[in-house]
Amino acid sequence: MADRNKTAVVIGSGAGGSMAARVLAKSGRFQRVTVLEKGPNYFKLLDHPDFRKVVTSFSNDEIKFGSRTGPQTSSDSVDDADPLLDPRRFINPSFGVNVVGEVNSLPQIVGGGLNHADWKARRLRPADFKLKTLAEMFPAHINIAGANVADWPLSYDDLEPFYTLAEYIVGVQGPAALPAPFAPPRSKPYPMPPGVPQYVALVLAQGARNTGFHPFAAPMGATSRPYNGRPVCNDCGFDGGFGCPIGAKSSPAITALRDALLTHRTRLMPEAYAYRLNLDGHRVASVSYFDAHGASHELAADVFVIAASAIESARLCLLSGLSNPNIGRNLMFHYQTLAVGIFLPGRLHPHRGRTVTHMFDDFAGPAQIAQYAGFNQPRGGTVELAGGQPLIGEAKLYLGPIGSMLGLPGTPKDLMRLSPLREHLAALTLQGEDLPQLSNRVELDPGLKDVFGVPVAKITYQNHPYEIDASNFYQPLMAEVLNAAAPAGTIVEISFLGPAVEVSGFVPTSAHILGTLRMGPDPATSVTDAGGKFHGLDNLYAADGSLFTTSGGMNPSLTIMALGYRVGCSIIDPKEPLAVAKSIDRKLL
Amino acid sequence: MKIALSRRQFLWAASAGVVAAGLPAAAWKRWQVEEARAESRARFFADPADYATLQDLVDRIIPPDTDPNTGLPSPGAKAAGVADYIDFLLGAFLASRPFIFAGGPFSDRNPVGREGRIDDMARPLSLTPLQALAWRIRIMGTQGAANANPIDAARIKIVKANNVLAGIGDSNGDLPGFQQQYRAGIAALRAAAMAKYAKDFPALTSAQQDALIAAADPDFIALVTNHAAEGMFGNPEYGGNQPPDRTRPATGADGDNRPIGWTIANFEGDRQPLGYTSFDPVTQTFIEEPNHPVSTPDPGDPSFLDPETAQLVHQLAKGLRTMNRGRRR
Repeated sequence: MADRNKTAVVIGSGAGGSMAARVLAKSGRFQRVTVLEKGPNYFKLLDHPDFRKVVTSFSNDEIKFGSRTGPQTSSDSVDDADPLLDPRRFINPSFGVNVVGEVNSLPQIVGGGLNHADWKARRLRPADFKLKTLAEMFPAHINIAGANVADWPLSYDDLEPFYTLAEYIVGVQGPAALPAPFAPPRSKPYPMPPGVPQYVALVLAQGARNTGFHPFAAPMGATSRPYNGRPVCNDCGFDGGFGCPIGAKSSPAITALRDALLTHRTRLMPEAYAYRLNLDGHRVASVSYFDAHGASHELAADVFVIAASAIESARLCLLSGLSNPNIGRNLMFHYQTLAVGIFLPGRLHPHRGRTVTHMFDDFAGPAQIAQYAGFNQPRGGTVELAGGQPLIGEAKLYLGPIGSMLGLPGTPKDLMRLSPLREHLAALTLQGEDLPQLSNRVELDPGLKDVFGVPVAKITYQNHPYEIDASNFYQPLMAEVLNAAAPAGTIVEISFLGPAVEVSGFVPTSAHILGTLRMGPDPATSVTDAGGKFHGLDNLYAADGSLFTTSGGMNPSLTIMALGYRVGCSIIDPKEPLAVAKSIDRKLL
Repeated sequence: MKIALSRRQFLWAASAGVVAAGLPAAAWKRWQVEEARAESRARFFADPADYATLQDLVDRIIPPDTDPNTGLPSPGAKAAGVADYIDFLLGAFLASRPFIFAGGPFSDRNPVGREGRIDDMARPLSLTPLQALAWRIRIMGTQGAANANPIDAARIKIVKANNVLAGIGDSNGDLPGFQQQYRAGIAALRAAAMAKYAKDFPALTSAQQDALIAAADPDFIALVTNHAAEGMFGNPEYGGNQPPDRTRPATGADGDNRPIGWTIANFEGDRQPLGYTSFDPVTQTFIEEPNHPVSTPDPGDPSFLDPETAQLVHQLAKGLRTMNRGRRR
């Protein structure tokens, strides 16, 4: 491994790909790391040593981020794949659904989805890596029958140092301690303390406390202190769904990817769409990609890392003719359940501050397997506490379906002044763990193509009783939290209680896209090994959410970053990834 | 990117921002803004009567009224410039630099120190070839987009084939563009006005206009309604949501010439680089703005609820629950 003239290609510049690229570039083992990103680059001078010179065109602009209406499409955000040019098919056999359009699209942009997400920097807990073991020990309340559940091929202890590295590389804020028994052990505190809490989150957190739960300040990817030259988040409120104009949000672009670019061994290629890996025996010889104008190119390298997010990574493998029959299977989304209340009379002003500042883990199950003995509830997931929706979205509701269907006495303008569905709206979101199932999968659609003429993803997905039962079990408790959150003398009206999936016409809207290239020890039941390397291929790795063996009930972003970092290390030394990490980032461990 | 400000800088900037935003913009800045506008704003409607019909149509969707809280007149979509929002969108590709998305990172409404004094949003964001293709299709339709840019013909053929599989557009997968939809919708309204009242649409009373809108193509009205929401409440750089005094630039939340839509919705609008909080590195604490707090209730918020509002919200919540049950089957 002393060879320092190798080259690597990383496909995708998001959470996982940026981390892997950073490791490969900083290791000194690669003379050239090329990052292919399908989407555009909204940063200038990303590789300038002085962060103040880095410029973005992200802005506080609801039209740009999701609100320009197309004829057949719901949202045409500046940073998304456009469903008009790049549709997907979604099939849910249990409901007889078969639709074409926008299906779980993640931003396609330099830095990936975490530019856009109000991302919660959560770690999975030790028990989350051992769901099969857990179900065998506690079959009475953990029912995985018929699902394809396995333990991860690595443990929390294996990943813990990489969680720490991810937290320090991108900059995460979080509380001094998460409440026991839901918190995993950690080797270092969060790099930054929590920033300013949102009023709506404080109201809901009090409701959770009144109901006997244990809310805490959300660990999240935004600054609360000056951090590596980046400014402190000033709580402009354009958080979830918007790119950050000042670099306070911990986007992979301005952190891990920028670190990789600063080595001068990394080449970032935006608007470069990788559509095929070209195999030569047990090796990937090159990748074929289209440039912005549709011309095809081929790029050879010694190592290839796929990090295009679970659906697109699986699609690329299928387009390349990789033969492992597990590719594309065990797709997971998280079963999101909402409890939405309208609070009166005071305004909750959820448009100020970071989108989610509080949460509780009481529905996620204990962190350690040993603690499950007395926990006779389903495993759900973390519950995020937050407020209303953007302004234009609200106006469209009053001017459109709700206004006319309900025959409300007020005019749309009166409703905008009162703002029941924005200024007075508070919500709990349960990020329910959904189970891996062989039949939930990504395939190539036989008919649909993107505008480059390449087949697009056909997604088949239906839920297991595991996640539906958990949702049903926790809904009344979520309603109780809402009711308990109304301060004395005020009222709360529950306007919605139930799974988010079904509200949106059966196409899951979750951006937590997991599985499809699952890690495992056995090529017969998995696609990649614990180091992210494809079984049976010498130089191909995955480094994104596709690796997840089970989904856990937490925002996956930080786990994707930790895995991305670890995969990068495993490429250099599959036996001792931690030793590689220590050689690159000794100061952070 | 912006660096952290000290507390004193923040307080100075917060007060200076209010004053500066209320003054006439510096001439050179106005020149820059106007140049960006000139290069990126082309109008679609050539016939003044078509444009006047559009103005009246959006003004019936979001009409002027009296703000019940202040007793003052509150302008509707026409005064807010919503017709311009639509006209500029439909004409985007007639301009040398199509204004589909505004630039960034800042407007000039929330300056802090030297940051945020030039309206970056007045310039359009450059589109990728794919974004340009998608928006040509949306605005001109599949056929119009293929005619406008023959190099895209093969790609549009694929879009049409997908549309057939998806069951959208006509039997060939052709989609009409906004231009065709507006041209047909406006012409139909004007023709109906002549047929029924022997006057052009803009010459009718509001009640007569409402009657014709109620009888118009619901798909067209739904499209205009969506665009009206965007134009009324989106950033002013897109042409809508203008301030009451159009001879002066729009101001931020504490200025005296706020965009009309944001005033109605009690929304501060875009907020960078000012934000709502400032970190004081000396005390290691955050300072919140008393008038726009993050972590505490709004000052002066009502502590009681009038029965009329309570009734309305009960009805809204009940209706939403019913709708959601209906959808969950």
